[in-house]
Amino acid sequence: MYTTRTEITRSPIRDYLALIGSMSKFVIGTAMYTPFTLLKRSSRTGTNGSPANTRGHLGRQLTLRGALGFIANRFNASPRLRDQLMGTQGWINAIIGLRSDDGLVEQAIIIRDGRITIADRIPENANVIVIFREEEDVLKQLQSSPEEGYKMILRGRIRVEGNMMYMGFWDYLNNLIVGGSQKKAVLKQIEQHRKANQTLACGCSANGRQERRQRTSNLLRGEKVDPGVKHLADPYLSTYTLGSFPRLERMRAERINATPEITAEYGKLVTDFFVENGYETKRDGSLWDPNIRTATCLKYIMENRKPLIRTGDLLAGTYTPNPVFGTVGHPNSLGTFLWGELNTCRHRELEPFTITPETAEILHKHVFPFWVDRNITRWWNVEFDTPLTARIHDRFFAVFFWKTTSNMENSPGFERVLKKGLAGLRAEIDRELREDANADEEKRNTLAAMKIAMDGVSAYARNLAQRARDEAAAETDAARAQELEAMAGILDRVPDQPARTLHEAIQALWIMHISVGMENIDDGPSLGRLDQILQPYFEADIAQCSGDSAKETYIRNAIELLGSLFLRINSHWPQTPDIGTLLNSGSPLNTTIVVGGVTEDGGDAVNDLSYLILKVTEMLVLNDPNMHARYQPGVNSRAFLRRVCEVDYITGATPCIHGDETVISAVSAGKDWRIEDIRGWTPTGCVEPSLPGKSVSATSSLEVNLVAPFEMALNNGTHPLMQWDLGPKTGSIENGDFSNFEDFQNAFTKQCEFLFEQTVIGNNQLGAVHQHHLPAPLMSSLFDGCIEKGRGYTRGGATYNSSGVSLTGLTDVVDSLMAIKKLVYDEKRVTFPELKKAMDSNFVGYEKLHAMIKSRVPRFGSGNQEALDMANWVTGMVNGYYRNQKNYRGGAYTTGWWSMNYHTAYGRVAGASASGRLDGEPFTPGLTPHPAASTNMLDNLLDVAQLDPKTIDNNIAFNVRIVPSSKDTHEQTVERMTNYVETFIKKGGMQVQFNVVDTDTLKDAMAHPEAYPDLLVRVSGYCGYFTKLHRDLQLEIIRRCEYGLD
Amino acid sequence: MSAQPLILDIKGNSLDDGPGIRSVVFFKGCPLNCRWCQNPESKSPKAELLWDAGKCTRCGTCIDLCHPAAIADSNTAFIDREKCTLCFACVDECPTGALARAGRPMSVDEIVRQVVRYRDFFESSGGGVTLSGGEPTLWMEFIGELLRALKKEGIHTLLETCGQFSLDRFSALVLPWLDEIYFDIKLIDPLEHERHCGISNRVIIDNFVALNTLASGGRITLLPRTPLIPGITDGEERIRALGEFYREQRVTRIGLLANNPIWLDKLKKLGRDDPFGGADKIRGFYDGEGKKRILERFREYGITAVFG
Repeated sequence: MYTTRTEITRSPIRDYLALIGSMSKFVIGTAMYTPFTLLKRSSRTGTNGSPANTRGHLGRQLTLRGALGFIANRFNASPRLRDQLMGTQGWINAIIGLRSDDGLVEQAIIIRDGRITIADRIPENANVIVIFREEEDVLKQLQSSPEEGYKMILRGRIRVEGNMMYMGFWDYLNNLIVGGSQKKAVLKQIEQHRKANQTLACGCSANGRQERRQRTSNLLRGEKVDPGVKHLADPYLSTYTLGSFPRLERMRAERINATPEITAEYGKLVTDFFVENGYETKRDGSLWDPNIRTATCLKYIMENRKPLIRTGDLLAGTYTPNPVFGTVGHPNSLGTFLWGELNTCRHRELEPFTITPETAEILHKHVFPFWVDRNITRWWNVEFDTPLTARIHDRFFAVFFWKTTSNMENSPGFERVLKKGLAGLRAEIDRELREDANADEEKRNTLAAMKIAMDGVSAYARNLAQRARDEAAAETDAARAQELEAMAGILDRVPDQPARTLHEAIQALWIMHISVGMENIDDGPSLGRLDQILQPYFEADIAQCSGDSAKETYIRNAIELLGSLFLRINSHWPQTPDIGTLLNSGSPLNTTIVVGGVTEDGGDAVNDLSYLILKVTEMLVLNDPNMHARYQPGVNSRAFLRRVCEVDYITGATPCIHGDETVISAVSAGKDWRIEDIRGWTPTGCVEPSLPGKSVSATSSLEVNLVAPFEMALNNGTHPLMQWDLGPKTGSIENGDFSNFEDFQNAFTKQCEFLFEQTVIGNNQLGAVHQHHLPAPLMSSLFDGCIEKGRGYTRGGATYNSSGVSLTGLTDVVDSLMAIKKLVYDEKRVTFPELKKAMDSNFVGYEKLHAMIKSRVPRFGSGNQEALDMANWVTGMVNGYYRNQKNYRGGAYTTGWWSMNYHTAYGRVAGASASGRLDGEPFTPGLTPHPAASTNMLDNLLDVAQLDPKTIDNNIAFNVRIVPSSKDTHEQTVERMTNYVETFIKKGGMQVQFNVVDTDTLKDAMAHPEAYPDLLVRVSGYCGYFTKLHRDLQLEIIRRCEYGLD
Repeated sequence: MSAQPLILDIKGNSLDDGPGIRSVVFFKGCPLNCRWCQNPESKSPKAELLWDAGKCTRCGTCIDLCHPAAIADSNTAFIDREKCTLCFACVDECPTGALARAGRPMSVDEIVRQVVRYRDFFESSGGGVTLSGGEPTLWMEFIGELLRALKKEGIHTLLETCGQFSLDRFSALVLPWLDEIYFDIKLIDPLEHERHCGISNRVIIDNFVALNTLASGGRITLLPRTPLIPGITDGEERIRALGEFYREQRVTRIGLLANNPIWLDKLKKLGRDDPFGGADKIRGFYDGEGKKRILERFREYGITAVFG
């Protein structure tokens, strides 16, 4: 993009590049909004052309040219504005095209060497082109609210070819001129939503505002029944509340009330390093070894990032320079998406950020220009010449590739550092190099890189120790000074040396978590089985305590330490662009932690730490870490499950509960992995199983909309909303090609196979991108096998390898198949072409048929055997395909059914379904049955429990919303929840997650968000604060079936 | 009464009709005729046609196929119950499910098969199967067989009864297979009982006394329950009469059922008139104060009352 470095910017614009419409929590910025706000204004004030020609397309073209010319002139005439075109590494150049598919609109903005010019033809070497489906869409976009504009993008009325990041640059420039009118439009939208919410909540009870207090007023006492619990007389720790820990209470309140700050420290350091040392090649022109490049850069970052200790905290070190709540903003992944919003993100309706002018300037002038062509999506398109699979990804209707965001849904073996120290790992590496005389270059480089990266971690710990000493010296409060001195002592030891105490262990874990996030992307990763990792240190500590009161004090300290760790984890946020709030709205960065389950030999793993961690979960009610419990009936006590259910009741949403045996049998199926290793599984990301320090699971690699191939089967290979003739020709309903139901099933299978093949190709391409650009030597050193093989984890170095797929829309597909089978083929109540026509008409004019579908078709979750068999057929068909594919690391693919918020996002791009679902409506979350399936919760639970585990080996998200009866006591409610969960799991249930909240509370919270700052809900796999979720998602949660516990 | 009862519904997941998670089998038909009956569709032992105006889209499918022409938009209640022959052809074709049949014959096997699916939930929660209605004891042989089959499956059994039955037959056919009985006592005064429930409570009271003797011997668990109907069963004198009766019988724990006016909507589906002529009182929900007053009154008699 610089005049001096054009080699990367040459992009084949004939194809779709980069993204738009692409989703995730993240994605594009305010996109096209601003230029058209101006356009609207300029056409109103009549700056362009006569009234006569503004009516026709020629007029619109002229209007557009005039508006763009106006902006260009402002920049060209004002030295202050022109200065914004100059970055630290030279002029920031870009060519941005705007056109419509019907050919009636075409304009180009050429920004070159400090001048902006407008052209009527888009040059061949444009960096990005915004394409409207029709000329009319230009006008529609003009008249839309910001949110309507995003929906036009998400529904394919507007798309982008080329490098989306350049749109962010252009938006940034526009905001300098028209920022005010954009802010007004947002305020108007906020006001509209506020009014609608008040109407919605009319007549609702406000009792929910007292609910949390009521639920914590009668805590259950536990009994010492678990053999692994050695030191807790009351394992439920019922005498403690958050109020018992003023330090945690204060830090939590600060965090809950904070707005995340966009920070530039990471971006600046990583940019400084590569400007100085070269990215593609070193300064001397030689090639980088990818591992050495990453490690050397990480070392620079760790040595130079500010060593910070949050005021009053027990743990040293922060993700960002804002110790309470900040964003890291890795510019090679998502960070650069915020370019267009640097000046507007403070005013967003949802998930606003704070940002200082200095940060905005560093990012705009220094960081983003360097990375605009150096990010995962871009590398994918450039290195693989804009493959079909990337073009499918870009349109966001069928699959999202998580590797464009990160590859972090794994559970590194942090325990290795606790047990051996980095010194121990270094020794292991040295021994390996000594003993392997035939080590190839890759092995030598990979192992050398691991050590360089570790040196960076050690340097950071040293800097933190110094900082703690400096702060101690300046501290006037003697008690705090003592804490800081102790902290310095701990940092002198860990993570270089093995941890001896709980405090050392947690501090070492925390530093490693930051470091892995700095090396890769701060998205997770899982901390795994924290109770198993930490119990030995707890036991060693408590053995030193003499007398009950010393033990009591120690247990309090242990809770406080764990609370500090939770709040540290909760101190960062993804740098989500505004459109991301329509996608995985409110999703944190999901660091998973699990308690309970079984030991390596199948024994009861519940211990003191399991309960301490549950206590912290109950008191803090945080959206991150993402909390989980493993329960194995007959091994884990019912008392443990009861406590998990109590915490779920109090928090309303967490932890989610896994059927341990079922998960273990699913992970084992068809694999020769050691059973002892499988028993050590932990959830990662949302719910997906991974073996800490042993398996690289990349569990959310592919996020597939199963309804897309279903719609393609209904339309002979064409996706209707995208109007894209994409899949194989599998038969036309209108031509009567499906003489029986099996013929249609086969068509669906073929469309699935077509799409799935593309997903595997894309994932393996992205794997290669990660191997080259994000080889992760530090994280690799935490996986068994990598040192020995001399291969990083992206190169298949770990003991076990797999890639995970999550699919959305099982329930809608099964219910649709049932509707077609029953009404068209079995009962012949309607012909297939008629049903198709009804769906294409969104059931308008087909009300009777619509009613019949809803009242007569047995659904998944109703207890109907045929519907259950259909569900097993679908999960089996999908798993049968993926299980037999190989990923780029030599592992197999696993399939799971959890949806984050894709059930809303993908629902938006799907037309009406045969299940009766209307155009654009959300699917159900995860694989949760449709609310209309049955009024009997037991039918739901039993159907889900009877899915074949090996076909859902990447786990499921099964949401159940329950409302306790006002007649029941705290104890009765917990008891009832325990009964349901215990039986569900005994029957083979894999996973269940609760929302324990009634509809009135949710509506009251929409109308009075200020009264519910921390109302936690499970979305599908992740937890979010309800009042911070997108309105569509809030309404979807309200629509979920509400089962009364009465 | 015929040997084959009609089943109104099987509610799979109930937490209100006995201990733990339970499935409730609702029988159709009742010897009493309580004015406030919460399940008016269970009064008649015959099948009935239900029509839900809220669900109906007036698509006209039923009008076209109704042979006796009992259904018409011009009818005040949509269905002319005089003309309806209960052929239920309309139910089979109704696309929305607004027309429904209340009461289906089911065999013992069918019922057992349907509830046994939930056995694990019963076991973990200390729940089981409850027979309710209507009045299940109208079919002593049938329920005896059903209860025996359930016991064979190891399922806890409970009967909700109005108490109007032949004790001899009950003791011979039903009692051996029962774990628990919820026994409704609505009013103590026989005349008032007759006025509001259609018949005297003589048999009911005698049956209760007899079963209570068995219960005090530990043979069975028995819980008397009283529905609190505003202005009918919840007056000061009525409560005192109940309190005295229970004290006499050495009953220390009873259940109370708060009025739930939702049943008034059910009447509309059946095409029946509101027997209270729209009186407001009967439409009220019980509030906390009202409940407290009654709990205190019973406490004076040494009785713990629980709302269920």
